[in-house]
Amino acid sequence: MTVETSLLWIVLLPLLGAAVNGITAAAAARWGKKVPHGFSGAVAVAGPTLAFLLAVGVFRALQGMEEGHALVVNELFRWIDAGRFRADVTLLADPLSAVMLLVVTGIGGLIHYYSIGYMSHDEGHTRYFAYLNLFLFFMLMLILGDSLLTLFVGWEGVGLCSYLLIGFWFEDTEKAQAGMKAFVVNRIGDFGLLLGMLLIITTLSAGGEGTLVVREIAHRLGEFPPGVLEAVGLLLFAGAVGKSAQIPLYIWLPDAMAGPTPVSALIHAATMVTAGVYMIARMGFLYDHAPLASGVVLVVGAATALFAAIIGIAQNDIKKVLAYSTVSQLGYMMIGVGVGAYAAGIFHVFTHAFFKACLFLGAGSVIHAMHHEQDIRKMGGLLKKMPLTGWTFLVATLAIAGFPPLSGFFSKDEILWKAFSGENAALPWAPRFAWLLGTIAALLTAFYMFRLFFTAFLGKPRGKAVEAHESSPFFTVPLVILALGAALTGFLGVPSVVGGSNRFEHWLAPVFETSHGGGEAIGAAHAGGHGVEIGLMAGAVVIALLGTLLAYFLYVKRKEVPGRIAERHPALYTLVRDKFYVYEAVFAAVIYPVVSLSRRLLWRIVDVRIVDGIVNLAGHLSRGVSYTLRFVQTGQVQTYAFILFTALGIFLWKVL
Amino acid sequence: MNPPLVTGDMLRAAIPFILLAAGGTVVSLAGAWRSKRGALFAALFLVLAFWKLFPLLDLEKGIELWDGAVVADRMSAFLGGMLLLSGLFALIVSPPVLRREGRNRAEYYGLILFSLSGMVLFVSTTNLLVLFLALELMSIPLYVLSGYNRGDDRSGEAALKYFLLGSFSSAILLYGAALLFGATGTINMAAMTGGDPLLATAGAFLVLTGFLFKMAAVPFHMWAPDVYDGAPTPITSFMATSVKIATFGALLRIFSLAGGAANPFAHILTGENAAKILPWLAVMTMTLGNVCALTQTNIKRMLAYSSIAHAGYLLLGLIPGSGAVDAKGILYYLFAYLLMTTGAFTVVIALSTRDKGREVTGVERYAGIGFRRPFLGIAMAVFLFSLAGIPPTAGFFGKYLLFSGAVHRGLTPLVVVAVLNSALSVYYYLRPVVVFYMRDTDTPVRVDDALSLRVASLAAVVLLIWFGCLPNIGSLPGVPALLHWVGSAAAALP
Repeated sequence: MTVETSLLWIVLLPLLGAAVNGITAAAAARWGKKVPHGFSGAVAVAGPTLAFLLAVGVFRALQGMEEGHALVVNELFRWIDAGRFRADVTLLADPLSAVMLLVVTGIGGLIHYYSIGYMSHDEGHTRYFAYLNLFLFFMLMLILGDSLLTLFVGWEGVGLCSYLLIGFWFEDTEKAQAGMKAFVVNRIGDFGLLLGMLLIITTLSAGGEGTLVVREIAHRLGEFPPGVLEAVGLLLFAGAVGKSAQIPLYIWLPDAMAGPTPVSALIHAATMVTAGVYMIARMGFLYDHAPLASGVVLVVGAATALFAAIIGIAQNDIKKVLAYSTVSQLGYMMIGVGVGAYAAGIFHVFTHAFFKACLFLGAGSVIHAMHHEQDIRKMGGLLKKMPLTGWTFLVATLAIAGFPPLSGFFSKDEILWKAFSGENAALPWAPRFAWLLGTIAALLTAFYMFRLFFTAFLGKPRGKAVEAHESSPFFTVPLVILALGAALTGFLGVPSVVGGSNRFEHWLAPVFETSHGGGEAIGAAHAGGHGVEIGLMAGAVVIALLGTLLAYFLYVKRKEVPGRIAERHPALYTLVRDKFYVYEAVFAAVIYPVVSLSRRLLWRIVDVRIVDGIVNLAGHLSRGVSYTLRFVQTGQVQTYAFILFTALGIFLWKVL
Repeated sequence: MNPPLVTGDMLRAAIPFILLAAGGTVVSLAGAWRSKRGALFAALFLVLAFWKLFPLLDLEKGIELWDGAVVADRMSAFLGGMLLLSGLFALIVSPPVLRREGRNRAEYYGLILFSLSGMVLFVSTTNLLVLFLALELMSIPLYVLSGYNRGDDRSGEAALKYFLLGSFSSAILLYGAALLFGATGTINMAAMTGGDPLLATAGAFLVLTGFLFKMAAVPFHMWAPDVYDGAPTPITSFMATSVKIATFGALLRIFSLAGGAANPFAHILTGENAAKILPWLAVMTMTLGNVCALTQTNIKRMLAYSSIAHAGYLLLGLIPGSGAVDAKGILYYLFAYLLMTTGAFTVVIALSTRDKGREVTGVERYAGIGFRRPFLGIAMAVFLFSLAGIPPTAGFFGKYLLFSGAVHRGLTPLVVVAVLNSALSVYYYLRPVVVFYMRDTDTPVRVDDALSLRVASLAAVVLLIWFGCLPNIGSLPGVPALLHWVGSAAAALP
């Protein structure tokens, strides 16, 4: 099989799995039969596993190619051919998409495998696996499409699947609503993305054929006036804000915890939320020339990183803590791509995929063992009860907190260093500002993650934790693999300062090379010297340690202190616990006025009275005329002939 | 030495027509042995004709025989193909109905072939005399077929009405032809020039009236609801599609000849007073068709009015405005119309029942059928959605082509009326869907499960969606390929 064909199969295999499971589920429902659990699980795992093997093949093939020309292209078919706009469906793998490909199929595959264990008692497992495969298919379309249009297809498909999976247990209204919320909030961002795409088409149509092929856009970047470039950058970023859960559209992500835990892992670690970061990295050549848009990405990313970390401190639901940590980590990734360090941003996507998947699957294992108890205050001592889960969880926690030499340390540090040394022509203060917020967030990250770990895994077993025991290999095998990844993948990107070769950045360099052609506007240009870099690195370690010690002090040594702090500053505590009332603020500022305006004015008066009135009037009028005309249709041939000749006479008279 | 009267080239061009006519004779004669296989024989001839027609689609240059009596070019080939498809559908869906009646006789299929031969000739001639002959050849079998349901008095009534009014219209057309001949001294419309303007315009308009009657344009439509309602449903389906294809196809050819300002038909298209007639006809046809369809409770009558409304949309394409006649849009629309109308009638056939010899096709009887008969329900929904012009069906794309073409020719006000009409039509098209899915009754409904009906409706559904939205996939033709054929057929006209 050629590399091109294997590219096609990578996309098709999950789709096939989804089709098989989907049809089986529908057929089973039709004839009231049950599908054997093993069957749907095996079908679901087969697709991603084979796709992963093929992805490795593609990766090897790219490695074998000449640097700078590492491309695998498979042109499938022409989709749209309308006037001055053409769109082909073409799959393209370059070093960037290859990295994403490995993450999505590899970690996605592990999550599929894990799901067999997690969903073993669920009635709807066939449907579940069909959705899961479909999710993977759309994510792969998103990554492999060579144009923004194919990316958009995947983008929307991922949104759809997230709706289906978050609301998987739709009998529970709250969960169904969480699915809806995810979908609707994402749609708001998607609207921006769509406008950005349309703006690209209209701008390019002025000077030739409108196109959405990324390489073409890069090639014809000169046709964009600077202002339009900024506008496109901001609009595309609006899409990324929705999908990658940045302020203010992050509100869907914590609610997305309503879905089964492997789904959370899939959404948070391997797919979906990384799409926004990926898209901005993909369009990096554009952001290099749009300093304002990049600055906005940077500032929003930094603010999100800090803000979500603060909220994470006061959450007691194990999944909620992890959810806010995802939002915060996504903020880091945005800092990376916002400062023009696309490789660093993608590197964080890569390492984050490992430790976050490990954390979520670990949380899933805990929840499974605790019979769906999610409150960490009702856990404790789980390290002894569930050693594999506990130790892998610890590794991932160390990684996310940024302890060397675990992966999170290298990727996060790279981003902060790039931010510290970066420049932005439109917002000169933004890179340092982002660095500052990112550093504070790093302290908080270590704190809240260890708060979680200490409370849930150390101390005396509480509640159901007493009878908890280690989960089956369906759970632990992926956990061990992911923990190894979380520990070791950092070595792919060891910076040169400490003697590494940063193979990751080197691998991606050809993709982003074009983007640094005119990097005068933004970019990590002037290094402040090796001394500064090493100093910052040391500082990061100290910060991680500080956060951990603080957590140790508060949640292991002096457990009464956090309660006292909360008592003494009740306002502050509730403020953080209730997530700064952002959702409430959005509700009061946007949703409530819109809803009440809709209800009072638009619905009761404009719609019911005026619009419906007109429609009903038109309807009654048409029907009235129709009834009247029935009398003309007498059924008498004489009448018909009379009308025929009369009409002919009138027409002839008019014509002549 | 005179050139030979008949050459191989000529034979190749005329052979589809000859095959159909010969097939009609053979199949009718087979009736002498009370053959039950009439449909099969007829289909054999039809496929043969199709096979002979197919190479003509690639004709570089049209072949003109006997002073325009028969013209074979890509246009006539494409139209002929659509006509044969319509005939094929009729052959497939008829046997179950006729068997129910116990009247599955070969002559029925012979008559369909005769009518088809007339239609194929009708769309491939520029000679007035041949045009008239072809018109009669296609109409007379249809008069007979409308009355084929002898047990149902409405069928006989339909046949008589169709015959009487059809005769009037034929007479009008013939009178127009006489005037044209008198004014210009020729019966080849391609060669007509000059002549007394009054005489020529009157002649052209009278000929046009004959066409307007056949396509059921308002106010020459009065026969259509009664005839469509009374005729056996397969014949209704056949008439509603093939006659429209034939008349619009022939009109396209005639109007495209009117390029020279001296041609009598140019008066109708561009003359000071006469040019106002076509837009009015279009508006009246689509509006009246849609408004009358609103209150129909009988699905056959509803579809009859809907076919009138579609004639109105198609008339839009014949108005040149600031450009030329929109042959491409009309051809695509006819293709979509053929599939969706035939499909809808096929479902009606499957669902219709008999009460004391009379066919009953009231909509309300089919409450809840969508869940009990999922395939029929979905198929009907697709056909009705397509008729209403909802994507991703060919009905939508056809409307889009016709309307956008009209906008480009500066006919925006007409398009506004047409779009409003489409909106109106959604009401009555969706009502059967509502009844199918949102009402329920306990009375069991008899459904004809004949395989041929399922095959026909499945084929129509697949083709409608396939040619409504899919690209060329590998060597399978999709929308672009269809547009290419339509374009090359349109380009064959002068």
